[in-house]
Amino acid sequence: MATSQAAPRAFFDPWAHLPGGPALRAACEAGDIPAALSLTRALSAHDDVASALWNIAEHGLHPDQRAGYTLAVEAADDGTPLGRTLTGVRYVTVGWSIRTRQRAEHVSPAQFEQFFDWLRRAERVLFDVCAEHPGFAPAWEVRITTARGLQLGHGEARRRYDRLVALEPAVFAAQRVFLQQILPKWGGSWEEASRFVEECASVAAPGSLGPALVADHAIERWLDGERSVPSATVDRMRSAAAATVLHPEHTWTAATAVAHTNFALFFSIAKHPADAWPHFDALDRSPVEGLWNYYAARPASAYDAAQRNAAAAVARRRGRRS
Amino acid sequence: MSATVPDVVGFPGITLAESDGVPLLLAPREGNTTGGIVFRVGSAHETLATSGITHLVEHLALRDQVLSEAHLNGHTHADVTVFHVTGSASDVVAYLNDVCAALRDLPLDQLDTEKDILRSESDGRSPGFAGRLRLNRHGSRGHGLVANGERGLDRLTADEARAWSRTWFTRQNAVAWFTGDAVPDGLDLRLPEGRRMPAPEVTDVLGGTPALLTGLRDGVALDAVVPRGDAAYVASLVTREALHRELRTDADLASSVDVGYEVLDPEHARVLVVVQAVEGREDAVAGGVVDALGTLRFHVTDADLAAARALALERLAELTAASPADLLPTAAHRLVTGRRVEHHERTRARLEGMTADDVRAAVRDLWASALWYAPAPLDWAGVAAAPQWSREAVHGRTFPRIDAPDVSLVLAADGVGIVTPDGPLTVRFADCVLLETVPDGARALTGADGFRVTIEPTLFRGLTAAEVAAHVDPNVPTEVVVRLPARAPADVPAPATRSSRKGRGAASRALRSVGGTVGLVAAVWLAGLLLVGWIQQLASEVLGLDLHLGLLPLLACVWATFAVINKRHRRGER
Repeated sequence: MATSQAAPRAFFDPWAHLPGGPALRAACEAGDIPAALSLTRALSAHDDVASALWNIAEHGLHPDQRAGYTLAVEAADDGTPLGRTLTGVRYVTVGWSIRTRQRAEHVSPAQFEQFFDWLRRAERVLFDVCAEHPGFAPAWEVRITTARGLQLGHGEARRRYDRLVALEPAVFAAQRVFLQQILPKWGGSWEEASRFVEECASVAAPGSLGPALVADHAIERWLDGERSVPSATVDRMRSAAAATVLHPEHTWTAATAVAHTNFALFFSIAKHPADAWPHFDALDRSPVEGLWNYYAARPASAYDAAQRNAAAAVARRRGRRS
Repeated sequence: MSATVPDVVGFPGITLAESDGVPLLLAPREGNTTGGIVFRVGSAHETLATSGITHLVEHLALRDQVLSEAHLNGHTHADVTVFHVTGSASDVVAYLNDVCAALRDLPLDQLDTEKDILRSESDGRSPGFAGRLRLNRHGSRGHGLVANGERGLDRLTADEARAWSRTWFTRQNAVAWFTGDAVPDGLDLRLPEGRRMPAPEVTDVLGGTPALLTGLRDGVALDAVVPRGDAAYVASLVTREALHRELRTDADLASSVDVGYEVLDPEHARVLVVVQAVEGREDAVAGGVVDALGTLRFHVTDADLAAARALALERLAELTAASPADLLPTAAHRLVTGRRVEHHERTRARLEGMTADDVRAAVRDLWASALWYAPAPLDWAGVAAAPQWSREAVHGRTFPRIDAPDVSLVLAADGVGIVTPDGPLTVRFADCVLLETVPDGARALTGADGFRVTIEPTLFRGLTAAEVAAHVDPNVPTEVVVRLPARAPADVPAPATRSSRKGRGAASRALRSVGGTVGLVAAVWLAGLLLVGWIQQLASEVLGLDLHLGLLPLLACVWATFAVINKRHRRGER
């Protein structure tokens, strides 16, 4: 199962901003899921645990060796809540890879049937984990996604989100997942989505990521065709960035990188490249995918171009000043 | 003759006496006198073909009661029938004497009037979701009958009512009570000889649980049949506490939570959970109940257990504190249903000793036997859909449905069935609990499992009314046959045509249909002529051929015309 050849690094490296990311990646690429689980167990921030679980499930092996991956994850399931949750997450990712991320009208009934089958499988595992370990937050986070996939309704997704919040008040990954649920493309509305964004901002502790959700919202609006970005939205985004990822009390997690890349994307499409620069800069040489793959068919080149544009804008501004 | 029997009755201060061979519970009290008699017969002892007969006998037994001042009544429950009265001592004696006299010799001259009264009583009374849960769990038998209505009223005869009364309303099958310290003078409880009857059978046609029915819009309900006992009783109270906390205190999901516990027989009890959603949270409440119950399988909090235990003890204390006279109906009910009655102190000790482990085990039983009724599937929680189709189809002569040829009626040697692409509906003659007939030849057979096959001879190709009657009637025992009056011709169904399925009027349908056919025929001829002209032109220009088709194109168009008419207006519809 192990491979002597290291996989070529993808442009967007999902492990780059995760504490212990290189070791996790190595364990997964070696097919050593038990090692990956024990590295995940060492993570403390919930957003890091969530990111690790989804990464292990989705980007675990070298692409050529994925066939037996589900079996490997099941074999590594040691009956602990984390092991069982990883099995559930793996089922979700298998299901979603069958469904694809296309809009529903482009997904065939057969694809949907298989997608639902995998999600039900996942949900049965996660339901039992939540019943047996009701305080285990990562399983509740995944169940927000399964609720959306299984079309259990906004109310059910919200109930699960509320259960998670009662355990962990600020999980950015969960806020992003629930926001997806209430967007018009999943049967919600922009008004509902705006209210949720406000809610996440208003209850956030200083420096935590809640206010950064406004970037997801604004990018989704733009992708939906609302191409003119009001200056008020740009101002709001600047203060959101200042209150979150740029705030002195902010603690870096894997979700920080996602927030940065989405701020960078927003300021790029809003044609404020100089504002995008601090976010590109913070990610250094390790780009993060965020919503870039929804924005462009070739997200890597789009990212590169936007980053160069942002750097140039900052250089011009400095030039003008000097 | 009388003796205090704490070990039998468990209610201190109640004396067990006997009158005309009927056990009589006595306890004195001040003021008005109350008395009654309870029989171990209820609607769940009936069959579908006799359903309503107990209620009918109860009404007939009370028909001549016109006591002015007394408050009197009768009730037919699933497992017992109760007659009771409050008034002066002589009112009570007269009432009990009259009830027993009527039960000895049922006044049957007003049978049809009483049937009409029963029918109007049940008008507009819907079995509701609890009834639907019972029908799906128990089938058209025993406790499932409540959902079918009193279907037997359409066929019950005076002889059957008399026989029912003599079999079930007997002295061995009764317990009476009277608020006095001695058997009152002049009491005449003579009743026919019989035997103590068992509890109604607890049937199960689900074939597997947990199972689910969908379609409840504004909440979620579940019905579980669990081993009877204190653990199940306390588990039902813990469930109520947990649901209340999780769906009302910690989240605003439910506007009401009800959890009931009902003893069915010495082995079984039913737990019924009904949760009403807060408006706008209908899509979250089922998930909330599923998660709460799922969690109770593993975790019972000390607070929930303490609250449940306190409630159980409080109810017990109410029983202990009540005056013996007030407990007479309860004691009579326990005695006639053969429930073990023990001293309060022993019950209290057992309730106090109930542990979280006991409750968890009982909740697992509850979960495993649950039949859910929810707005949407719960397969994600491992709850499969309850059977919507019969397990097996019958095999025999097959008649396709005229307006839906993929649906067929099957007349087999051992039963009848409808076969659809989604599954079969089958009623075997041996399991048929009700056959409804109408003079025009339609038949409806209901099986013990609750499935129903309706045969409308007009809807199936090649089927005649005479054929249906000849196949079905001789194979079904006459005592399950209900002969319904003739239907208005408009009520006899006709096969749906394509446009009638859209709900248009018959006249406009015919007009549109004929108009459409004329248009189509014209189009066929036009297209035919154009095609022939074009082929001839093509042949002469490209190939230099001079085509002589003669009458062929004309014949083709005539053939196409007939084909169109045949397709649009089938012989049976013309």
